[in-house]
Amino acid sequence: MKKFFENKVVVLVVTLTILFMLFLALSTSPAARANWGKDGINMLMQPFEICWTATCNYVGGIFAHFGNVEEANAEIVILKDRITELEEQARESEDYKAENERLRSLLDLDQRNKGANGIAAEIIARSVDNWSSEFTVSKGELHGIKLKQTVITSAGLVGYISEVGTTWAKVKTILDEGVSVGVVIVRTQDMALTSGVADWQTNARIRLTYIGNNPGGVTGDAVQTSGLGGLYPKGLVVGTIDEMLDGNIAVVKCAVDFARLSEVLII
Amino acid sequence: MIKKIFLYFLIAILIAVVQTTIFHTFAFLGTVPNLLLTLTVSVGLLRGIPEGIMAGAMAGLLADIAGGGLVGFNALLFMYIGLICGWLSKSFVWGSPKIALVVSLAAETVYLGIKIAMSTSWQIALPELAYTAVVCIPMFVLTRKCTGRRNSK
Repeated sequence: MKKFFENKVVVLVVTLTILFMLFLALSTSPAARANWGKDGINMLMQPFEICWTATCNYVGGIFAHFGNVEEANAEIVILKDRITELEEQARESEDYKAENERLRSLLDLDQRNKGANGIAAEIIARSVDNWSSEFTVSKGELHGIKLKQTVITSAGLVGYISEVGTTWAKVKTILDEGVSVGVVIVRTQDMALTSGVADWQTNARIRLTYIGNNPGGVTGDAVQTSGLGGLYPKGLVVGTIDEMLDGNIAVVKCAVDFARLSEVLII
Repeated sequence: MIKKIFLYFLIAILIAVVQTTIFHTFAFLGTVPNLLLTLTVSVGLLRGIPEGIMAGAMAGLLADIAGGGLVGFNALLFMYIGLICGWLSKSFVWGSPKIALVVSLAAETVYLGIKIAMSTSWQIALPELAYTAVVCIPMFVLTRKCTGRRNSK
C-alpha cells in the first residue's frame, strides 16, 4: 500500500479518475432539483463557462468579421443586382399601373354606355402630318367597327371613325379642321358648333361658334355634345370654354388629353 | 505539479479558443478538428505519462466546460488517452510526426467510436476524423517546438 502511494502517477490517475467520475455521477443526477454536489459543480464551473463564452464570442467575432468579408462582398454584388432588378420591376409596375388605370376608366365608361355596345381599341398609329388630327386604332370590321361611330374616352369626346379596315380603323378627332360637332353650353343651354383649327391642335383647343345672337357663355362653362346632326350621341363632354373671342366665337379647351391618348372606346 | 496543471489548463484554453473560433471559420463539412485531443496525444508522446495525464485531464475538462454537458466524461477519456500516449512514448521511440499521425488517428477513432455509441452520427464523425488527421501533424510539430521532447529511448 505504501508502494502504491509512492507512485505519483498512479496516485494522480486514481485521484483524477475518482474526481471525474464523481463529477460525472453528479452531473448525470436525474433529480428535478440539483443536489448539493451537482449544484456545487455547476456553481464552480459557472464563472469558467461565462468567461469561456465571452472569450469565444469576442475572438469569434473578430475572425467572423474577417472571414465574412469575402462573403459580404459577394452578397453586395448579388444585392446590387437585386436592386437593379427591383427598380426595373418598379418601373414596369408603374407602367402597368398607369395602363390599368386607363383600362379601368375605359371599362367604367363602357359600363356607363352599355346600351351603345362600346368596343375598346388601342391607338396603333398617328397621323404623319401636322395639319390633320387623325390616328389608327387596332380594331376594325372584324371587331364590329362601323363608319362614323363615335370615339370617346373616360374624359370625353375624341372624334369619329372616318375609315374602316378589316382589323383597323381611322379616327378623325374633333381637333381636325374638317370636323364639326354640334354642342351645347351646359349652363346656358346655348347651341353652338365646334371646329378644329390647325394652329391650335397642339394645345388641344377648338373653335366654338354660337348659333344665334347674345351668347351667354363665360370662361369655364362646360361644353357637351347636343346630339343634333345624328353623328354624336347627346351629353358627351367636349371641354370647357377657355376664352371668349369677339362676336359669337369662343375657344374651347378639350377635355381629352390628345397628346397622351393610348386607348379609346368606340360606341 | 500544480504549476504544470495550471500551465496545461492555460494551453488547453488557448487551443480550445482556436478550435471554436478560427477553425469554425474554416469548418470542413460543418466540423472542426479535435485540437484538444491532438494536444493530449502530442504532449503524451513528447512529454511522457505524468504530463500526458495532466494535459489530457485539463483538455478534457475544458471540453466538458465548453460543451456544457456531462462534466467529467471528456476529462476521463482524454486523461486515459494521455496516459496511453505517455506509456507508448516510454516504451518506444515516438518523436516522429508520422507516428503522431497514426496515434492521433487511433485516439480520435477511439474517441469518436465512443461518441458514436452515445449519440454522434457518422456524418459528423468522418469529416471530423479527416480534419483532425490534417491538423495533427502541425499540432505535433508546434507542441514539440514549444515543450521540447523529454522521452526518447
